[in-house]
Amino acid sequence: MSQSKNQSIFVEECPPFAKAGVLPKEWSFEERYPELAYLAKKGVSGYTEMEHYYNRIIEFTEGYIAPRALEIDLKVMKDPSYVPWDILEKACEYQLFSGFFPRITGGGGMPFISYVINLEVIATHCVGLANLIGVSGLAISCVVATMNTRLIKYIADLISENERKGKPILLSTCLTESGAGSDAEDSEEFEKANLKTFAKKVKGGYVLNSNKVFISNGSLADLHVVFAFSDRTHLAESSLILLVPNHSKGVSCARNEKKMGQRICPASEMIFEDVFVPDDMVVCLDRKASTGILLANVLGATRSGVGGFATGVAEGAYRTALAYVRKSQMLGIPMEQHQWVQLELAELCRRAQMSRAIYLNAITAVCYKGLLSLIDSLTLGKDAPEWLMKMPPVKSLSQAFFDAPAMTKFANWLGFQKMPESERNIATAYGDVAKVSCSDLAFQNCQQAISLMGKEGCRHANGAEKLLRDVKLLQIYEGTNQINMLDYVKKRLQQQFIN
Amino acid sequence: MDQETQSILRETLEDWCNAHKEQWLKELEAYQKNPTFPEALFNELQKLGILDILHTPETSRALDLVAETAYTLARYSPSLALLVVQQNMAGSLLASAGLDAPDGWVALPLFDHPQEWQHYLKAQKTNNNLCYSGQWTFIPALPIAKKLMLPLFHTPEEPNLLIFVDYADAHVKYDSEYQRKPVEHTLGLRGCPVGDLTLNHVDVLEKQKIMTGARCTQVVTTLWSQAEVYMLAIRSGILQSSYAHAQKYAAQRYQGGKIIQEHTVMKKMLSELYRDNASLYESWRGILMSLKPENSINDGQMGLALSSAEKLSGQTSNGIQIFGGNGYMEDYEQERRFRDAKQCEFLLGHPQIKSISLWQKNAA
Repeated sequence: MSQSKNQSIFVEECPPFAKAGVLPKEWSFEERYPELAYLAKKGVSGYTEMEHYYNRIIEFTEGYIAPRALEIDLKVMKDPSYVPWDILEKACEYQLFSGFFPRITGGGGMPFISYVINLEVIATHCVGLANLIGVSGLAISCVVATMNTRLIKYIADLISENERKGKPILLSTCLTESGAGSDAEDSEEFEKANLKTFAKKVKGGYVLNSNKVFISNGSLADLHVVFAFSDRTHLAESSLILLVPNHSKGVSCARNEKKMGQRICPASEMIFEDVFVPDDMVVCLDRKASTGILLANVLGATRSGVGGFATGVAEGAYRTALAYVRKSQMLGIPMEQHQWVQLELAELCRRAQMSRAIYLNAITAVCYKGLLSLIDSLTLGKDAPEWLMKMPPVKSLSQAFFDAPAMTKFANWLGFQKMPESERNIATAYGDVAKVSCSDLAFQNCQQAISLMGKEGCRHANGAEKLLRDVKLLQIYEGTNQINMLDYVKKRLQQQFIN
Repeated sequence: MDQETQSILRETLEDWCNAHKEQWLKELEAYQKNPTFPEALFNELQKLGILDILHTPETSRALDLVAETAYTLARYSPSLALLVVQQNMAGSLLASAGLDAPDGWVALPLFDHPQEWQHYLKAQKTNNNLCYSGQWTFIPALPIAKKLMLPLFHTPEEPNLLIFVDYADAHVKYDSEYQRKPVEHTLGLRGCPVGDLTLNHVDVLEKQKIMTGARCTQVVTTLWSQAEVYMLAIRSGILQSSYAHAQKYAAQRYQGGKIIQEHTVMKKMLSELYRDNASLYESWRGILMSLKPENSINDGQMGLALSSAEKLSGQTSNGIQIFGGNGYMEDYEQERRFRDAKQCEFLLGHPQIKSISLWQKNAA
């Protein structure tokens, strides 16, 4: 067999992207988020603020995550108990845990969109780390959705005050059980699901017995947000959220699952055995607002966030493939000079861009119409200087403000009566689409990146295989994509026929 | 191969795999976490008679025996299936060269297409000797092999050369000349160790040149072409295993008040997996019915092989979806099938290079 001398059958002569050794520049905020720039131009405030947070997160990821993502993945494979606490402590300096809490609660007052963008950028390098940070946000969102202002303030204080000291406080959301996965997220399925968690009412509180599985952050969390039921015959009506400190008697972590990817964020089996939860740590719902509404409120927001994770991974796949192509040859010719290779890279970049548009669209919908519209509009104290917010009289006043029972009543009215079900459904539907579409696009990108790289794509050191292992989980958690689409049928398609 | 032989072979291998799941197969899959390859495995497989099918005169034309072995082993361990196929391919080449069957694992660059071979190592003529330098990456079995076989094609002065290196040979300075470094972590096929080979100005000895010239080209490229069927069989084994486990899980797991296979969305997913599994199985069996031992596969058959490689990871990904969260956990093994499936996409070369090469042959 002889090599054809006619190179033109294989190779189109294309100029390289740049001289050898030249690295691609980081996009400016406007280049990466032109739709937000447009909104700002139209009069939406906070553009400069969002750009500031974007530049900060780029600094954090380039300095502390990008150089170590692969090394951490290997370390966790060898020692599943390894946690990069130094990175999490550094994340405190960037207010990644409390940033999106309103200033009045002691947080950073960051726009929620910026919080999700932060997670997207982190996910570009390590979606497991983004998940580890973001799942605390999921737990907080569950509590926020109940409008129990006293407990919202309690959690916000716990996280913010420790964050200032450089100590990351992690939360977990304990929802899934071994016999109930996706159907534990849909209150209409509760009666058919095999749910075993039970919280028995006793004097002064509840006694909780539960076995929860696949709990992200379970073994690391300082506080667990546990979904429970106080009446086995009426699950939806008797649903509760309990806040359980990890050090409570009866709380234990049975094991951490051996996952294919996202290893840095543990998925734990949590046992709650006769755990006493005092009344002041029980988030009782207004019975007009069932768990179904709560979950719809929360999941609309958090599934949009998963869309952000996925976009980060899609972007990461593109960058990984680009870096490989720029340094490699195929059939003796630099890879980037093959026309078909350039088209493949364009496909990868295109999908990342599409994914970004979808999740930002969902996040703006959720911030406009969903649960987060309430947080987004709580701008009290936003521009106040830090020293003022720390003054004891100001802190006492804000504490009294949130502790007042009237405040919880008002928040409930705002959240459940003022916001009709149709609006909440819109938000959830956007979240479903973002999560499914973005995770599918990211998965395709990771597949294609490895296909482009060939056998070298399967080598851990090149980064692409980790992305593929990590991305698959995005199609599964927060409900599998198939379940999300069934939810979309209910929240979107069926709504077309309701007057 | 008649039905009875096929059944006996399949049952024998299934019994062996079931009996040795804990002893060999789990140990094999844990190789990258604990890099100690089970030494006795080679002898165990040799006793089964599956390592030198293509070397033994009575069975050297029985491509279907190798394919059936690959399929059955791949249902339990695609890594093991690949090692066995590779060993048989090496045996076939040695038989063509009139040499004895190897007494240990032979490393062979199974992740590369003949179009790619010439670009890895550079040859120089020095003092009437051919001297090679360069790097050849991702060679299966290299870290554990006693011997190495490399097709060195399109070299100046001496085109199309097959060399056979014995690492136990005192003349081979493998520390400095044939350096091998294990690839520590890969996406899939973790039970089949792979390594990178670096040659530093190595003079190829005459005794190492076991085949040359046009005959070498013909034997090697025909073997590589026929090997597409073995790889199809491995992929088919992976998909069969993915479907079987998904079906079993779906028949037992409750969700929404009924077993999940009663949900129509699940029926759709399982039916698609079953359909793809059935068609992939028929594809390699169909090819074997018409393939003669002295021939390469035809373009249509090559097209089938390429399509199967491209689709398999998506199909096994759906296998994970059926399991939900459990599908992502190592304990259920469905995630391993997905990882192995993806890595199998690159067996015998980069898919795009193979596609273009196939078309170019037709266009010419």
